[in-house]
Amino acid sequence: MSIIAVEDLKICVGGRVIIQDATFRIDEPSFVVIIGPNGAGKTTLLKTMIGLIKPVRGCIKILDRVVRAGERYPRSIRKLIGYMPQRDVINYAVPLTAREIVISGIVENLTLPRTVLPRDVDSLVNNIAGRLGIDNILHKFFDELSGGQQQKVLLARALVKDPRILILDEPLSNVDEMSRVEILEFLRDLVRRDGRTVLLVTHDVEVAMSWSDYVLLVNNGRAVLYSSKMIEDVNKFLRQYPEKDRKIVPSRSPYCA
Amino acid sequence: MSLIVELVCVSILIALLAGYSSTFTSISRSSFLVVTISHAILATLAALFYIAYIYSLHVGPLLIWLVMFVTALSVCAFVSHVRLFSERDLVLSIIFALMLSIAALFMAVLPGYMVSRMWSFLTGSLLLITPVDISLIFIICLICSTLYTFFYREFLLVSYDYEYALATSISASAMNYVLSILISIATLACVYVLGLFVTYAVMLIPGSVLVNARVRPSTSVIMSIMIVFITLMISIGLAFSYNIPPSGLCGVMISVLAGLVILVRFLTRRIKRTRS
Repeated sequence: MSIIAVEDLKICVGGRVIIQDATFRIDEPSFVVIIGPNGAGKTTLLKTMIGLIKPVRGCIKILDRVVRAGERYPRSIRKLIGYMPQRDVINYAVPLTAREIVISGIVENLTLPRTVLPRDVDSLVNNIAGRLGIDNILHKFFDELSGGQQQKVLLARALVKDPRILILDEPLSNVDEMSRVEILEFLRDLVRRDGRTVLLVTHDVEVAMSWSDYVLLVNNGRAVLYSSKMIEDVNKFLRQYPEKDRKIVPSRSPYCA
Repeated sequence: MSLIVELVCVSILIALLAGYSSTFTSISRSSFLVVTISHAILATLAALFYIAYIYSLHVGPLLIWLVMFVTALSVCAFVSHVRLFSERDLVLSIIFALMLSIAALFMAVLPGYMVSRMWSFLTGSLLLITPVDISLIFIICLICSTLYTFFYREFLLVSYDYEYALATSISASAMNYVLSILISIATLACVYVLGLFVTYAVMLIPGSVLVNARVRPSTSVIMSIMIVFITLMISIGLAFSYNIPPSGLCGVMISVLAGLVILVRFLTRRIKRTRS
């Protein structure tokens, strides 16, 4: 049984084709990094996989559940996926503590019919916060935290409901090098030890090549999955980047020769 | 029921409605919705009184409540189709300007006695509340308070991270719509009792100031309820002593209180910055 299978997916936004003929399949718990130039459709693909955008053609299979174009995204699939959106979509005017934000990750489990009892909330939050090393900042307001701490809080929120698949939209943006490594090590452990599948969007090619099991390259409306061992294929893809987008490839990277 | 008991009951109910709604209006960035709905109510009531004047009809309180409900829910339903906050505010501001103009036009052609009745929707008619009105406000308050309490977590989530809420298994768009309806209903009750001007004061100021002062939403709800209730009680007391409209006094007190909070915060920050 595949974990994620995408077949012949076509996604349009505002009448414009963003992704077409996307077909890929992930059969085992993996760390998948999605890369591509700005505006290539990485976030659109991600949002389609969590049901925020409806595809016009094709189907998405998450574990044993299939969603075809035009169909409503089932709640049962949403419960399997932990999602971390980009930080700029959050309304910072709401004074919430890090703990309250993490708890909001199990709102769906606390509404009737409950799958998490209110008395278990604290232990769930403390457990995930401890694993991410943010247990000492849970009392602070979200906007008082550093960029790396905020990303970890949002990651904890995505993880607190114990999802099978984790979908992260640029979790490494505005994060210092130390926090970046911590987050990546945590995600890799999540895949290796807990058997979860992680899909992560980033502009950092080094992250894609050094940390991932697979690289999903998105460009010109195409999405192609490569094993991260297939460095030459990825390099070939990277050389196709328009001049203006090449700055996302680190100059010292051994992969952009 | 004596007048004092009636006034205390209305004050408690309005404080509950305004306290909850004020906080959620602030965190869901729905201030424009409150302003637009209150002006839309004014315009439709002006139109209603004009029609009643032309055809010599009697306009009773139940008809006024019905017209207010239909207007508030229509505006709410119309703007719920606009997804982007920036676009929604633009649409609301257009409706707001249009409705204010329509209200002004109708009020210009109404006879004097009807204009004074319309004026009560601008300045409020707290001392003229009937038991029927109290019953209706009680039902509204009961429904709104129950829903706000029951769906507190969901409303909070759709207000601070709508995209994440959409990705969960809760019905985020439905929750957002219910929240807008609750704010709209609270607005119409406030317009009826306190008038248009004071509605802004009780529906927008307490929640906004408290949320801005980093007070947590749950605490902000309780504090807003208390602020509105206490100011209403003081206003009613002063209204009896000095023969001044109580809603006007309530508006002034809330605004001055908000101003003081903002001033104290500003000075505290200045002192902290100077010391550091």
